[in-house]
Amino acid sequence: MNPLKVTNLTKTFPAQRTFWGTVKNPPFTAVDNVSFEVQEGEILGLLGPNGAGKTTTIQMLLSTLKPTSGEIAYFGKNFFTNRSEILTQIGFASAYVGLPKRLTVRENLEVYGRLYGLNREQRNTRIKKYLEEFGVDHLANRETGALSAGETTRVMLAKAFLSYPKIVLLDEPTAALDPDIAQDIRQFILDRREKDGVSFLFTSHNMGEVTEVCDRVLVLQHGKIIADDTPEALAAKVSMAHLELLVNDLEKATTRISKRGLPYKVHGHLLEIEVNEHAIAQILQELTHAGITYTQISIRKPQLEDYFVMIAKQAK
Amino acid sequence: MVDKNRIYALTTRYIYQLSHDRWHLADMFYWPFFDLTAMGYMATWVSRDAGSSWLSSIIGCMVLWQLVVQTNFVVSKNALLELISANVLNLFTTPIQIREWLTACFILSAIAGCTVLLFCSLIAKALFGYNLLSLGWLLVPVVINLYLSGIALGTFVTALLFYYGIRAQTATYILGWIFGLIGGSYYPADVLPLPFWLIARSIPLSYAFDVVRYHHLGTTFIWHNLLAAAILNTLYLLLATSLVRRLFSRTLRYGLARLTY
Repeated sequence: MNPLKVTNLTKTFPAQRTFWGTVKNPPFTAVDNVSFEVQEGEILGLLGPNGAGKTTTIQMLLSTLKPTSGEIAYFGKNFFTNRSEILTQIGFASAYVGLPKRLTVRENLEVYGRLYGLNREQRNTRIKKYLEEFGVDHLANRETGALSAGETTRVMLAKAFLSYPKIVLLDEPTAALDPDIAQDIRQFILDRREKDGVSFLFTSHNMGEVTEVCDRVLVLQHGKIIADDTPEALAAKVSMAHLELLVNDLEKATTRISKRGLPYKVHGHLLEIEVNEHAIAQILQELTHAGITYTQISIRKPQLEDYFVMIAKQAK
Repeated sequence: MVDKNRIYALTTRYIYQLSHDRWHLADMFYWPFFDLTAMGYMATWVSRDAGSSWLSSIIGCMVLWQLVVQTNFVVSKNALLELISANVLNLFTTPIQIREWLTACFILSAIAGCTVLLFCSLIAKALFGYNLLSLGWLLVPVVINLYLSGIALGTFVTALLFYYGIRAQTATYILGWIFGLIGGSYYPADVLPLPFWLIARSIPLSYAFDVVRYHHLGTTFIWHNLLAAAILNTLYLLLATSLVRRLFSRTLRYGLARLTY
């Protein structure tokens, strides 16, 4: 049984009206007939430009937003009719929601542990374990409002795993973290998948992170799924690579590249050309024939970020 | 079905909050003390020639009014706390249900209400020689009625907060005092002009406070007042809880996230 199955999920926000009844904002469809599944132990990325419908989708998957139509089933059970039972098995962390600021870290986790039905022993064990795991055990007795953004995020992650969930929804979990801590979190996610078979639905604006962690990526644009593939396969849809050259005659080189109609940027003496992967050899040959020599060369193959930039441009 | 563990969890959440936030203790002790003392001395002066029964009726109502203020405030303040800390989204991604949240608030209201009532009755005894227990067995139905009024009002404010979000926070502070003006706590509803009298008579508070006055002034009509207060309280509490559920459900059409901005 798949941990999550979403069928024809649609969210149309009703028209917003002023006090006098005139329409302020017309109805708006944020998520349009979206269907997907998350397999057991799978890490599914949810990508898309701002306003694509990622957060709206996640909110519906957590029951904090009512869908207009469609079905959500966790572990084969309808979410709307088994909400409380299902939510005990779902973890959630987001960089954009808060915890009560006056409560200490331990108190907050105590409260959430109780809300998830953990007994005293389970709470004590798991709180200790996750605070250590996320490197915030020394902050256990500090008020949550006194933590930095990164520390709060790690406490939120500890909260998300307290109930030993079978599926975890993470909305930009590493947004406020230092690179080394973010790397630890990514490793933690991969470990949980390997050891406990936990499934993840993951949103992030860090494309390198998505490539590293996610098995599969859903790309949303204007509320619709426009791609569903592995990060590598999505990156391969972008044919343009970036060729960087340190050339002896920059003016001559840029004239030559302009004539070919290729987009380029100049960074000091460095020339960056956006070019089809397959045409790189030909470009280099042409430059050489024109008497332009280069002393440094680097080629950056298309990455998920390039794909993201491409679809974001399309969205605009 | 409600889950008692989740209710207990929410209760501890607000007790933790109170233990860290000493300013919230001011709500429980400073304002009741200020209100009771100021009104008590004014009543002492005004009723100097009228007799001790008048003073008792005013002080008795003042002490019991603090119960209404506190029980109302505890329910609505807890909703506001969740909105201000942006915890409301986190909270409702756990298995809790709105009725469990309300139940926890009602339990906390009862605890806070009893604490404030005890505190105010001690102040009244020490400063004005008034004994709340002089109400005898009537104290029980009166306190229950006033508690129900307080939580019904708090639940109504919660409904507004869960629909309008932080923008409605003013309601948390002012609605209770509006009911103080027309609820018959400071003076009987009979002294109000007809339109306000009609409103006062549709509010259970005015019947409950009349019972206190009647008892101290030695007049009758106690039973039907208690009955009217009980019926209206039950009705308003049912309406308020149903309004919370209805408006919360409407909010889910737009998403809980919108409440926090």
